[in-house]
Amino acid sequence: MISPILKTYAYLKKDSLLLYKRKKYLYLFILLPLIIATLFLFALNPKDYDIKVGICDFDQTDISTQAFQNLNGFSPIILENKNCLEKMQEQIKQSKIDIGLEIGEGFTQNLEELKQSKLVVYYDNTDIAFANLISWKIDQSLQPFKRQIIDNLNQELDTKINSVRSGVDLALEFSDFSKTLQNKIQETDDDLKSLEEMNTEFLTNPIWTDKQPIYDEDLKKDAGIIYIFPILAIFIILMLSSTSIIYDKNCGFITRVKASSSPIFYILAKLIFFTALTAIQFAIILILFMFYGTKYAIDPAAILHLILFIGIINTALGLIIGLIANNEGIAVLFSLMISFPLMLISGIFFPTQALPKTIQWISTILPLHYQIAATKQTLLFSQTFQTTWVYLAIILFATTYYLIRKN
Amino acid sequence: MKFFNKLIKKQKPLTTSSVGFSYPNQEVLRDISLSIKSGELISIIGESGCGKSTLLKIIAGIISTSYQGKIKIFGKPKLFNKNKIGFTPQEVSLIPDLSILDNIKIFGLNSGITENQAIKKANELMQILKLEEDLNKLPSQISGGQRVRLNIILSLLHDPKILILDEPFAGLDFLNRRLLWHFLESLRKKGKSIILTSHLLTETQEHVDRLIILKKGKVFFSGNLEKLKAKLKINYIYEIRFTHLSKSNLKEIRKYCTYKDVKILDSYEKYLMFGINTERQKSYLLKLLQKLNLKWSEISFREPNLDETFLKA
Repeated sequence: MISPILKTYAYLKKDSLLLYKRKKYLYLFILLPLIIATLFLFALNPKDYDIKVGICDFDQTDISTQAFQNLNGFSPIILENKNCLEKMQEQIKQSKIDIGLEIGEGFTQNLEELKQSKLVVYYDNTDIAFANLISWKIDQSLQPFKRQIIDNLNQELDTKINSVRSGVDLALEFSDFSKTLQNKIQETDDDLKSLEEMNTEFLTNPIWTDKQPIYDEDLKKDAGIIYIFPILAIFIILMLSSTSIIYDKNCGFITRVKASSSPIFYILAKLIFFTALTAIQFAIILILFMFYGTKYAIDPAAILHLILFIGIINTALGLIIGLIANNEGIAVLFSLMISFPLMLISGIFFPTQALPKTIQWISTILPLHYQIAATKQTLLFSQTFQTTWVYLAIILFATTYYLIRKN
Repeated sequence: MKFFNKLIKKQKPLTTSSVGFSYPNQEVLRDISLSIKSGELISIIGESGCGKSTLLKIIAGIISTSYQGKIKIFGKPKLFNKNKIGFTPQEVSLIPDLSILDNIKIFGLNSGITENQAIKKANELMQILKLEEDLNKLPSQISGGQRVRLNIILSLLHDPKILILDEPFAGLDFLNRRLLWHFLESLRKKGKSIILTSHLLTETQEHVDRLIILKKGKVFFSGNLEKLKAKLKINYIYEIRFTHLSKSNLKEIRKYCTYKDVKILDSYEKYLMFGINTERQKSYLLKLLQKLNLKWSEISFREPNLDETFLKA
């Protein structure tokens, strides 16, 4: 019975020694999560971002100046009025400014006459991610300014209603008007009463969208790990495990394994080894995030369950890729071919809800979707997730075993 | 327990019955049934692509699916007695980025023995095979011949009862080949059963107990060289070089040979090699050459070696 243990130990030792001896792999393995997680942390907490906005102010009033000065998070650059729009578009194309803002003539007058005023935003629509973000960002930045206009308007409306009220009240004190005039004054008084009872906020802003996040704002920063860990794990473990099996094929190690015993212990050792690497990566990312002040629910059993899920599934997928591929180059391309689309539809770059239905469906049958969900449940909400992944792991293990025997 | 050990000893180390193997469009092996006794050294020979390596890979378990037939190791299915086999693959199978010592440890563990046992056994074998190198070197830092010997040593760390070697002499010079033959003979004396493939037929005939010739995926012959000569009716080799040999003359000679059961084993320009069964056949052949007014010089008339017999096979 000692033999299976020795064999498994042999395969583990071989891969550990190789990882240690092949320094480039070791450095990449440690540096990748450090670099990507750090970048991710900065991307999630854009406190110091600076978007350069070029402004063509054709209105040239105090209100229009106030409008662009209120753009939080933007650095306004006032452009000369002569050929302003052409210059602005040219500067966007040359990346000298990020976006352009046109404040048309009559912007203030329209506001004063209670007419809708318009701001035109110019942006580079070939920069897809930025284009998606910008209209929402401008809207968000103009919100305090809009609020101020609405408040001013409400105030003015109140003042005018009060003024009319004093006139109507005065007229009602006199009784020597003709019957017709008295009726008219009474009618005006009734209308005024209904106007006074009406909430003037409704008149100026009939639908007010108030965005209310369901979780604490701090949780947004903590949530970064739910994407970064599964994505890094699938990316790195897929590549390392697939190239590792190609290495073993090329140097004849698998031949020796097959000659000496059943490949079960070999697969088992690979799963243990790469799951351990997954755990190390997880630890690196977790420490980095905690260093930046995030707080997680640390339940060792739940975290072990999570690492087993992510480590075993990704390793088994990598082993299958390695057994199908003929050389390390093909294995890397194969891994990229699987991990890259997975990343794109994982919800980190584009909201999955906004993806076409077929893509959404594909996303839900892929393991990364469940790995992200499991990480979220484990780390953010301290909940357990289902163990149905074990069935998938058994299928992948059996496939790997079959491919090694057939190879 | 003693009874059990006796029973195991009585069992033949290796038997294969009706082993066959095919690729989708090609049949490689057909109905291979053979057995090997304890202390027997056999060599499988045959043309390139005749299925020698495939047969060894099936026996060693490298090809473990989609073959037909049964393989038994000491009377049990292969799966239960795999550790009794030591397999040396044709290609040197070492982990290139790990030192010789690490390779020994890992291959030892892979064979089911401890690291210390592996190092002890490796040192013993390295002394016999004159491979006294710094164990901290990488495989790439030793010579090709040393790597071949190390490749063999790594298959023997667990002291297997059956040794399977696929082209073990490839890449070895004469001295190292002789060293390896002596080593294999010493293992045979210890009761190990050895199967190997080799293209060095003349060298093989001196050392092996039995030859197995594979032809078109089937066992064409199994036995020693004498038995093979008898089967092929070639007891002598007669080599001659003509001063002039026309196409019509060659045609006449071929016709005569077919009629008299003389084999032309090789022909190149004015050179001919005949495989002859009796001395009388030689005199008949000479009479024909005289009749054709041919002039020639005799190169040799001798007993055939395995290479020449193999040409006939």
